[in-house]
Amino acid sequence: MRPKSITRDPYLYIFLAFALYPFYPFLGNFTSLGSELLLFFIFTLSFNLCLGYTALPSFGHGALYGMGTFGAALTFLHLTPGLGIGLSILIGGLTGMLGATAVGWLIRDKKGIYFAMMTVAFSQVMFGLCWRWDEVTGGESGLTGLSRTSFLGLDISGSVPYYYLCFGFFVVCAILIRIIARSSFGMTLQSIRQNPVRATYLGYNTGFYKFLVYALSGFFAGLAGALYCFLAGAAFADIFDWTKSGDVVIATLLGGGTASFYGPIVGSLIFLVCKELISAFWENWLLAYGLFFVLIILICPRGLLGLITDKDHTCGISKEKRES
Amino acid sequence: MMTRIGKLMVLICVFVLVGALTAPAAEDPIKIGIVSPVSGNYGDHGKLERMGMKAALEEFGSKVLGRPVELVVADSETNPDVAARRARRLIEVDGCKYLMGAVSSSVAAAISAVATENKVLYFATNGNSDTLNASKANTYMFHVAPSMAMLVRGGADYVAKNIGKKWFYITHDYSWGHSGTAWARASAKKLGVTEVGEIKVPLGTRDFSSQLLQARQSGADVLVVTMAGFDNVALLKQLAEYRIYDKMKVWYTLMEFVDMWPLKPEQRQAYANVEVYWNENDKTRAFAEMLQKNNPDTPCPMPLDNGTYEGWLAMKILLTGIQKAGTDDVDSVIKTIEGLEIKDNMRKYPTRVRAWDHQVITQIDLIKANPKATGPAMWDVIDEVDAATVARTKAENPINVSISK
Repeated sequence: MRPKSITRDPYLYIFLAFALYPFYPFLGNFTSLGSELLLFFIFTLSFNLCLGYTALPSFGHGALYGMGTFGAALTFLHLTPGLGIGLSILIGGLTGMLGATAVGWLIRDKKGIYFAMMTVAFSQVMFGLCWRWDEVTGGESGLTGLSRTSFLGLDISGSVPYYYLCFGFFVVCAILIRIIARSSFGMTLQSIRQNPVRATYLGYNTGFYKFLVYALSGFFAGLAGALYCFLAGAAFADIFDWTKSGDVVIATLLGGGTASFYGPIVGSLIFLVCKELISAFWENWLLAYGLFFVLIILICPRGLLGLITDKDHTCGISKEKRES
Repeated sequence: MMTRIGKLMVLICVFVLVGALTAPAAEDPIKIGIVSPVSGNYGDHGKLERMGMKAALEEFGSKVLGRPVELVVADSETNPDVAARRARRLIEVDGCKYLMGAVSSSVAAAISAVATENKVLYFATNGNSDTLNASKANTYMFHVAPSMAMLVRGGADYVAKNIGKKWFYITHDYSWGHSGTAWARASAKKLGVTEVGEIKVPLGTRDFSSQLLQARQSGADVLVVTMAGFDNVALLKQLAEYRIYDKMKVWYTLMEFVDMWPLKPEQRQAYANVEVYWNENDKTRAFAEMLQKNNPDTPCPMPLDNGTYEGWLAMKILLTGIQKAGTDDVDSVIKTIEGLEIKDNMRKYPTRVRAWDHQVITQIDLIKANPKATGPAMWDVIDEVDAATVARTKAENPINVSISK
């Protein structure tokens, strides 16, 4: 990247803003919210590879996140007790990928609503399994005692060190996801989104591409889930609840995931921070929250970033893409 | 376009910061964080427990050690992840040293994990799971509501001796429901009760016609039910519609007043274990009347339900502990609370806090719903059991989470 393009890169500002997060007044005290935000960024960015880039309505994405959580938690408790959390996090990511691979292969050629229903069904199956299999998942009362000890020899028991661990993961994942999105693979995905029939006739195996992006997305979602279980110190079956999958869809659409690569980040920021701030001051916060969401969707149906990017659009292709 | 997104990010950050700066800063009062459902399915249960907590605080003049006490409420949304985040906010941003609340056991376990990490004292008010004072027990949590072991064993004796000896189980199909049936089964063995069948019902079931048909034909004397929430409200109605009460008695291992209240009087016929009943004695009656007078907007009349009582008790134990310890240091307060006995708890038996498993022990009531009753006096108390006689013993639950072990 040329120096000039670095200063024009939104990532620079995002990374800077979050590198300093623990030093902000008031909100900086709430370090764990910062960590959760970063993990949610990874989650929504990975989700947007499916929804925004490939138009894959993966409405059960929470299942992949949850699989990461439980994969990491079970590894930590049974395979590597007392050791660091590094391996558990990696296995968490791979578990998410495994789930996505298994389901993705089965439903890679399903279209629209059918794909969405299958992913929702998958997350419900995972919820049922987790909620009932007391011996392994702890059932209703979940798995606890995930006290994060060290990561590659570094002590991360404090909330600020853990924040920076999450920050590190976020930076790496965010860059990787953007590389994927801008690679020729990513371009193919966009062509599938714009016209799947045409993409097929051009010789692309669209089902295989969908499968691949779903699996990749599953890896990042699982990674975020794995990091989350060490933030919470616990893992519960409720993570597979459809509301978790709903949250990520809402956050992505709110920010404008279909309009811009950075939509999910803006969306999750507003989604989580507003929720926490409003709920702290008003008991009936859900009302305000719901109205806010309706308003955003009415005013800018493509999400907040849609307001900006849509001005640059001609013939459905953004200026940015025409330039690059 | 790129820089515009960058600028937008900066703008959002500034906006969030400005909003945050206007928030009040932490200062002198003793702050108690309440993580409790404000919205959603269990909003009513949450309202009741907060009502109890406030009542206990008022008894102390809203002060302890000469310092004002401030309650900070956060919505748990009955979701463990959200509850954990809210609990962390109460600790990190509001500076709460004490936490309280939770209607379900999973939420309690999640908050407990946060409390332990931050060395903050937490009172699990209204989850009845056995795990809360067994595998999930820890030094920084007290379990105020009775565990399923206490509830079921508190009623099993009377039911077997006076109601019937052929039992059929209807169970919510997850760990809490299973534990209710498991304890009933263990008691049944000792009491010479025969089991004639069991049905496990998945969470979210609202139509019980096939299950009730099966129960009707089983020849049982007693239908032992461990169900909760909206599913349970649906079941309560259908028990009457399918005329189950003509065939057999129904015994609930746990019942909430607020769940049975919406039924028509003639639909209320079951036996049930409860943690408290407002019409138990003069003191509870007076307390319930006071609650009703001070809270015009209650989910049920005479709002002294299980949740209200556990909330009240948790707050009372905590404030008594702080007062006796003479300091708000968390470890000293835990030390004082372990082994604490509270006699003025409005009940026949005193409240005791066990040091080794952090279980709070009071009393279990067995009630019979009276279909002829009018108004909120819909139950009759038929048995009061000292919970200490039915709680798990050290041999049954070999743990020790006492701070001074």
